[in-house]
Amino acid sequence: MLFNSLEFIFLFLPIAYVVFWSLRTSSARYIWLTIAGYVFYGWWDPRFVLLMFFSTLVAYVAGLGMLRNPPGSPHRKVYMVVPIVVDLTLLGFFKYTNFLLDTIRAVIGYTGHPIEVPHLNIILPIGISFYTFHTISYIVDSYRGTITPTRNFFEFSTYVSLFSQLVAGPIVRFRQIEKDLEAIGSSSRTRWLGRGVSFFCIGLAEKVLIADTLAVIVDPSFQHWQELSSSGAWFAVIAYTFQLLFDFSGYSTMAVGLGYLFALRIPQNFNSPYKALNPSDFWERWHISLSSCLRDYLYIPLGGNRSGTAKTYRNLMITMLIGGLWHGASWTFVFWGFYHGLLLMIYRVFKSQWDALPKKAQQGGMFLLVLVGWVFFRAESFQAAAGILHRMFIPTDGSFFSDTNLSLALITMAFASWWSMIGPNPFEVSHEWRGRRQMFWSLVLGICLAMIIVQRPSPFLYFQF
Amino acid sequence: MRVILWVSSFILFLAGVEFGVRFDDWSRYGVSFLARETAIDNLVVRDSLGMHARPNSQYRGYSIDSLGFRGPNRSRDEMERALLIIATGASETFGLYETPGKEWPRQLEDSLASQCPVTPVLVLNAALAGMTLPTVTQDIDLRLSKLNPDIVLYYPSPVQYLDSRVPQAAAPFLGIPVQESRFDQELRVLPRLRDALKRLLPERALDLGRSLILANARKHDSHQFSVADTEDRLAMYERDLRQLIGTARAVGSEPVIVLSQNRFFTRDMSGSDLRWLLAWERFYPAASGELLLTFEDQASARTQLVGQDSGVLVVDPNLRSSGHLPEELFADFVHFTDLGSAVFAGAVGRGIHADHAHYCQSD
Repeated sequence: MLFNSLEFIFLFLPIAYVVFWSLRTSSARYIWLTIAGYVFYGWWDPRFVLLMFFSTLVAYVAGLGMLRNPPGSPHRKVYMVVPIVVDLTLLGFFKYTNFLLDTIRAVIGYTGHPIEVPHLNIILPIGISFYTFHTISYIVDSYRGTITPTRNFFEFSTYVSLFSQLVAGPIVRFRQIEKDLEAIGSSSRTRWLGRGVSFFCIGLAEKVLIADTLAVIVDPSFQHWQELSSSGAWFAVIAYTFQLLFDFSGYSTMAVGLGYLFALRIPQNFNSPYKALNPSDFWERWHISLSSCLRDYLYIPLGGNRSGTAKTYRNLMITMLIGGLWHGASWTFVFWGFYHGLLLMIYRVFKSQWDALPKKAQQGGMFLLVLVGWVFFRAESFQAAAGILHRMFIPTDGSFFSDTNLSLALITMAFASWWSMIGPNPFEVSHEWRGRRQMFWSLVLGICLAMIIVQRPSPFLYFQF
Repeated sequence: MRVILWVSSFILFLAGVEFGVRFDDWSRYGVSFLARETAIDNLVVRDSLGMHARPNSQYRGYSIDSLGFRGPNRSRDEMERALLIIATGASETFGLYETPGKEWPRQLEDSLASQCPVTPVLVLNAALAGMTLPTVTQDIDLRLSKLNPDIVLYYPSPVQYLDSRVPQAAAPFLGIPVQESRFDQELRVLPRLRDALKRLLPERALDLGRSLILANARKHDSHQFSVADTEDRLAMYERDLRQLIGTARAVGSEPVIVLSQNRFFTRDMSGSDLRWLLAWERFYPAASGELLLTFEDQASARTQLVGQDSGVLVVDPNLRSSGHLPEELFADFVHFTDLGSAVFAGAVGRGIHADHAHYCQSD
């Protein structure tokens, strides 16, 4: 079920909301949110509900194990390692098996002695990367003593299956939401209602009015990249740059709004990333929940920047390569991670010179570097990525692809660039639901709903991860 | 004050929904914000020339030219220089599900142009959803004749003759047409909302709905055709077809008839085919699904007979021999997909080219 679908807005959400607030106790609300999360998730494919339940159960048992084995006890590490191995095995099987087999096939092919390597018919369960991250972060934080594992199964299953952030993030850590979960039985319905509706409307507008309008340019352009002119290639890549931001940011903003509707404060995931002045700044603004997880659970345990320059660079590169691979089982994603790792390393070397540039030049330069990276992120192969980059930088004849009218595409891109590079992000505006703001967002909500009615809702780009 | 704010917000919300639908029409199809059409039926006009498409009207991707044909405007000069074919019929010819520009008459033009690059060919689409055979004949006589078409290409919908009412020509309207104001608007969102809600329903719920509607219709009109008592309807079809041929010839055009097609050509009734047959039955409650199929076959045989009698080319597109699956060719029971239109147009084009090869000769 998509947030931007009629069944979610008019059926699922009202039922989930009304029943939730009619229940009085924490336990009842946990159980209801768990049921709602499983229905939401099972809407795509009911078979994968079992997988999420298994993953939840493993992490919950691990938490109980930690409670029985305080820090220093010999078995405590087992309760961390075994469930993480189980989680990563599931993730690896569903997401990376065919990637591995395809790579083996390609490598063997280079040797000149090709052998038959099968391609398995594995369906990737939607959102598995996200809820695996949720459970792993819970296990690691429990092991470290950062959080006290919960004994209440439904509290934990509410955290894992919370429909607002289940399939595309933000990656909420248990400690970020623990207080709200514990106070769920006594929370006030009206306290966050206005903020919730306001965030949801803004997110819906980001997705439906901007990202989906730009998708009409992006999809055919990347599909027929061989026929693009230089201007067409630039147009498509810039459109994708904004489409990806507003699609993912729109989802995260809606998730925040939905969280507020159920008295759960979900943290900010995007902080105007295209205002970033350098690579380091970019990763503090883009998909904040992922980059902070990679930092806390990978970069720092690897040694971070505490063991000399060479090891810092190594740690940075490993972190970014794995970050790239997390996004998708393809070498183009790994290369995208490598590219950003390289940018971070080069920035560390030339930090003083880069920082001395005027702010606008830094922002413009960073935007251009990010934009080049997105070509690898979106292209289906290295050949396509190289072809598009060739067209962008070497004048080439060809065409534009756009199923929508060009003036609308240009207006949308102009607005998207203003909003993302100059304007305030959803966390920087007022969310008071009254007066002219209420009237304005009512109008926008109406327009968004019209778009959902006339066009079938499109899935969010980050669902594939 | 609070109540006023909420009422204003709600009004703005509704205005936003309507604005959004109109914005989508404009951005996707170039439809004016103030266009009055809210349904495909609004594209029809009745005037002194009978019933035909309303010139310069547009509903979503269905746009009508200045002469009342579906498609882009063509100049008189273009028409005079080209082999002019006017394709006519009901919704199957008008094109319901195809991408604009992919209706079979438009694809036929491409097909004939590729077969004969030396002679320009124009195919105009005079069809309308629900247009009966007698109305088509009247249209040829009163309106299409003015354009002196070389060929009138008719694609029949014989099952119209299984309606409880016998198909008749929609009489011309001879009164003074009412001037319509641009500001006399209807909500465009309502039909869209209905379609969206329909999409939400599972297939089984839709089937149940169709069955209930069908049962209700049959309860109110107890007359049910059987295979034995359709002969008079077949005879009416034959009579009207001969009338069309005579009218086309009388106005100086060569009539060409195409045999009607449906998605059930494999006769292998799987779950989805049964569902579509039920959907088709809903339009003709007086006939069972089986009778609809039988009647189509009988009408096709009758059409071929008429063609032989009167020396008229009858093209059999024979979609079952195309190698494509029914669901690739048909979007529902009789209406084409883009591919279906292309295959159909290709077959019709080959039929016309084979029989009218003389048109394709440079002077």
